[in-house]
Amino acid sequence: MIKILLKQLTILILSFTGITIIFFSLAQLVPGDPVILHYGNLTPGTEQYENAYQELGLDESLVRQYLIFIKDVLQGDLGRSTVTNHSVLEEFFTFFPATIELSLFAILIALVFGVGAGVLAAVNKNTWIDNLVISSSLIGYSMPIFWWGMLLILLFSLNLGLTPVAGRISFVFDIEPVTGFMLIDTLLAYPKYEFAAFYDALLHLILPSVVLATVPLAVIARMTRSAMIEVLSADYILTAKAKGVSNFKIIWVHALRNALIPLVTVLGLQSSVLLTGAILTETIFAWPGVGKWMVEAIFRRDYPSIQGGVLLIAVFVILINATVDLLYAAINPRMRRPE
Amino acid sequence: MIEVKIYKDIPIPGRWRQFNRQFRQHKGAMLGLFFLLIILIASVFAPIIAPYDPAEQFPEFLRKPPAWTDDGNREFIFGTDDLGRDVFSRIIYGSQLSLGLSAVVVFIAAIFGILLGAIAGLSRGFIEFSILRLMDIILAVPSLLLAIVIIAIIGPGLPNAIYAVAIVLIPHFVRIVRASIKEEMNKDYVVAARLDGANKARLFTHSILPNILPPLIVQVSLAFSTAIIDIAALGFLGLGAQPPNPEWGTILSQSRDYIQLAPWTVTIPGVAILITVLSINLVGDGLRDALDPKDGS
Amino acid sequence: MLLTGKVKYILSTTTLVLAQLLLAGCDQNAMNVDAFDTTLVYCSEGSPDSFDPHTVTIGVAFDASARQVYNRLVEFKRGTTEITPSLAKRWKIRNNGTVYRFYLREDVQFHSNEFFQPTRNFNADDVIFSFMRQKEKSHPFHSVGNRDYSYFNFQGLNTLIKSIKKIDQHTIEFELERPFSPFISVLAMEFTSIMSAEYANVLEQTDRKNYIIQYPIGTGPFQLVRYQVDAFIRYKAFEHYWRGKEPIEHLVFAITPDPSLRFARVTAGECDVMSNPLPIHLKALDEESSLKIVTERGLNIAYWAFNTRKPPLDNRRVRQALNHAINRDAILEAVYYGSALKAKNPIPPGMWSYNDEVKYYEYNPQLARNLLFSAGFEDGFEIDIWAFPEQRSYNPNAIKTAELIQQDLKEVGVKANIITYEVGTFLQKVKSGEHITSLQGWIADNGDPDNFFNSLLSCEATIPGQNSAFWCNEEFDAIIKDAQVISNRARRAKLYQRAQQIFKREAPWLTIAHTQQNLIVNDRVKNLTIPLTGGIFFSGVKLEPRRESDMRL
Repeated sequence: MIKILLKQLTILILSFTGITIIFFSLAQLVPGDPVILHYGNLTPGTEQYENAYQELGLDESLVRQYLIFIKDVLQGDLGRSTVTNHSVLEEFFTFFPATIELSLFAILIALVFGVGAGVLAAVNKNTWIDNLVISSSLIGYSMPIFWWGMLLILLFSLNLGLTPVAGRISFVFDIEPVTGFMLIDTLLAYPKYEFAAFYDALLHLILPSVVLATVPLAVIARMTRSAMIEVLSADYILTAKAKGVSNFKIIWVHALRNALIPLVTVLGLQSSVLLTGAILTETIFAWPGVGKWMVEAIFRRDYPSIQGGVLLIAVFVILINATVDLLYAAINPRMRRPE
Repeated sequence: MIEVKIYKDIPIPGRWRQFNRQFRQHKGAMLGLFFLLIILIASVFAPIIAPYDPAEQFPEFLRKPPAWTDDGNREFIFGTDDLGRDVFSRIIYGSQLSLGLSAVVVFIAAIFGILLGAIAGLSRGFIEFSILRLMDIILAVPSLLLAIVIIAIIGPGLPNAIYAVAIVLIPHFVRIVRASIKEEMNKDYVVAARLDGANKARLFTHSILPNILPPLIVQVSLAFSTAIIDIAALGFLGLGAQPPNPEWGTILSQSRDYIQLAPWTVTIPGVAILITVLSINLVGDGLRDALDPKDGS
Repeated sequence: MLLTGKVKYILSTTTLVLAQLLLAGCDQNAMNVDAFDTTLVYCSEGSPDSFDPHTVTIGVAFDASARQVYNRLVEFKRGTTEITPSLAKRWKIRNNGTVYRFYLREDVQFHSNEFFQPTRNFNADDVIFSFMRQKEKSHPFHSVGNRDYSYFNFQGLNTLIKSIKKIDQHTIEFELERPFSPFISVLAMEFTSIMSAEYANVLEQTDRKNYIIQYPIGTGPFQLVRYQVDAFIRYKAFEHYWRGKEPIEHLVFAITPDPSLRFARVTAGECDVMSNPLPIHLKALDEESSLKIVTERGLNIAYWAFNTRKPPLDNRRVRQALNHAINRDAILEAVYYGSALKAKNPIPPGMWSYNDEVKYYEYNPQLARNLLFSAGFEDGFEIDIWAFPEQRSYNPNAIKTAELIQQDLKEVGVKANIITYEVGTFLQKVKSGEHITSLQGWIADNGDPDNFFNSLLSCEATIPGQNSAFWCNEEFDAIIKDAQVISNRARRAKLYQRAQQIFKREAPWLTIAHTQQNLIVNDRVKNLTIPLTGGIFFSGVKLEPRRESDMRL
């Protein structure tokens, strides 16, 4: 276990160094004055410009500049947005909880419905249920979600009037951002609006998280199905059957537990897919998360925000992957055996 | 005449025939192939099939609904858009862009991916390690975000979108090629070839490549569907193809403003993307099952 | 599609259950939540880059700061371009229009926030602070925010204002270098908003100078509560506003850049007011709808600028030919849905000095071809059309406009390519004259024609590049310079009318349209009007209780 931990740690450090090097090199490729790129519209010749020039170490070697960059990053200084002049790190963390909330909700939906559908299909292998699950998961997997989101808004919000069109919560509610997670913050605000704000936040979550869940749901359903089919034909299941263990218990306890092990890896891989989806989903639903923030930053050419944002997202994904690897090692008995 | 058979005479089908038979049994794949062929024909013969030029405007037919609705007009099967352009013609011409661009993207990604994967697979130590780490990093950034960032740096537009999406797809090829090479290297036929004194490049092109073709083909189909979706997504965000290009994602982003008044200008391009991607995925599934029967369901 | 059907079913059931839960929640709580009826939600187009009215340049930033949080010495009377008192009770102009003396109100209080509690009322020091900050490079707050004072310099105040003198606590005197008749109109513009000198002092002592642009303290009707970039801005009514507390208790700007989403939000009742609807949205509203359109003529112009420094557009005949080649009626129909006015002059008809005798260039492709032929371009040529990537009030869709122009140009043998960049780059490149032709527009800052002629068409304006045709005509330039120093309006009007004729003859632009300004407004909002000079003010707006049908939030 310690060996795995150490290995993950080395990979983590190396990946981080790699990312920063890549980012530093990319910054060299961006056309234009690097001072203006990092500090916004400064006029060359002014004192502010010269200070900024010094701070970036532009008169020194590239290696020195990189070290300055790394030092700043490690100290948590990712610069300031050239548009809003806010600290990039602070701004990232005002948007990040919204993305996490949405993604967690989406994962929850994907897991519940995906695993359910997968098990259902595996148990009823080669019946119409199975075919239904297979074909709809294929459709889900092929779905351009930006279009899917628009369709759902058209249907549920505009035609049926069941769900809100966009945003995290109705603007009538003045919720102080304590944790940044709307569901928690609305509860913390209790009893200001009783539970109305909480319900409202929940209602706002439904459509975007369904859209975001579509692709992972399809992947999970397919994975679960094939893993279940394999497990169900394993000897120990057959033994259990012979012993007279109830069908329900066999499927949902014995078989599913083992079928879910490979799912952990899939979930890890899905974190990147999910964040990609979040960019589109947040854009469509005006969801104030990091995805939308990044797209806006790009449109506004806010270089420090782009750089800081991508760096943080990448680090986040790498951390998730490392955690998943460790988790996999922890729950998979095969990985624990000494070599 | 009496024929005595000493050995059982069941001919072992050739690789191609076996593949063909497996693939044909896969109903979904055949369906996907059928649709894919239709789309392919539509894009190749677009000038013949499409009734109008994709940019031609009919000011007297603004926002005509599709032909099957009450207000529809037979002249415009899928209706017209906000400038009075024929949606059907734009979709047909758009398929050229979607398929063509994705093909270019996959080609670029496959070439670089196979090359890097081969280098990584045939070498050890630092080179292999750094290639793999680089790929991990690319994978760590959400694909669309990476594409967007690349575009932010090199500027928006179609060619840049192609590079961006291609770069994002490279790591998958690298991983597959490298993993397959590592696996094949220890097999007897390769060891034999090595003992014969074949150099690494020769070993790769003559002995290994033909044997890792199946997973590569499957990866190409996967990359193809990803490329179509990503290019459309970039077009949708306004970073890919620029109007009046009839690229499907670009059409979608433009018709978004009319979603309440002319919903067909939103639904039809979306359905086109969905069907195309679905067909490719179906074919991909079929290919995987047929090429690697033990993995099938 | 079958399982998606099933999923849809499950979803719609869950949604229904949840919706019922919510409605139940609302029914019980509607009575407790006063905020329901006193909150106005405005779907705005974008995030302000700061709350500093002195440095910002985009409309959404003025809407967020100057127009709700701050006041100025004078202001435009609603619905006109006439000047009325605001923080200044009255004023006197002396010495041939070079000295302006203002008598200030004494009962005006500033907002407070967690960093600042005002100890005194508004006085002359605040006026001096607000102008000297912009004028003097050595001023301690000049470099806060690292921006240019674009409007201050652009209106020429940096060279125009000689000195600002405090006569007593509530009297102040501006001395100008030369007579400048639009001066009083300029003082109604947003960039002259009055900040608190006392607040600045406190921030300087606590080393938080930057807060002045992040947490604004003004004298205006609303004070800032909370701002999240790209999400929302929340204000509350200022308890001690000198004109009396506003009926809107809570004001929220829901930042929604995408127009279709904005429209969806207002139709779903999530917003009470929608900014900048697309023409097609106006068409989509029916009679029974609880949504109404508020309209005001706009002091604006959309035009296609020809870079007169680049061949072949340095040739007047070519420019005239392009004017004849374009079917503007088709543009008005397809892009503006008939809601805009065809333009022939650079200024809109609502503005004084508008010359109605100027003739349109008629749509006539044959004539256009002849003109091109006589200019020596019988085989045509190739040009680029630069189109702004975003929706603007004067042009809802520049790209679509460009596509229509492209088609028309094909008819006369000119091949056109449409070029677009993201906003910042686009503006930068046009300013430096990289374009050959570009679709541009302008909205009046103040009611003075000088704001169009001098800002967009003078030789002086080719240097900062606001003159995107890079057109510099000596005859024209002399006239508009004369009109600046004369204070008699009738005589000025005559000069501007002549200038319009020269403009038409030389054709540096194709004038496309003057648009109306529109808002889509839920009819629970009363008394909301659009100022002629653009933007939105929520002062004086009244609210009726939210209807039951809007309760689904």
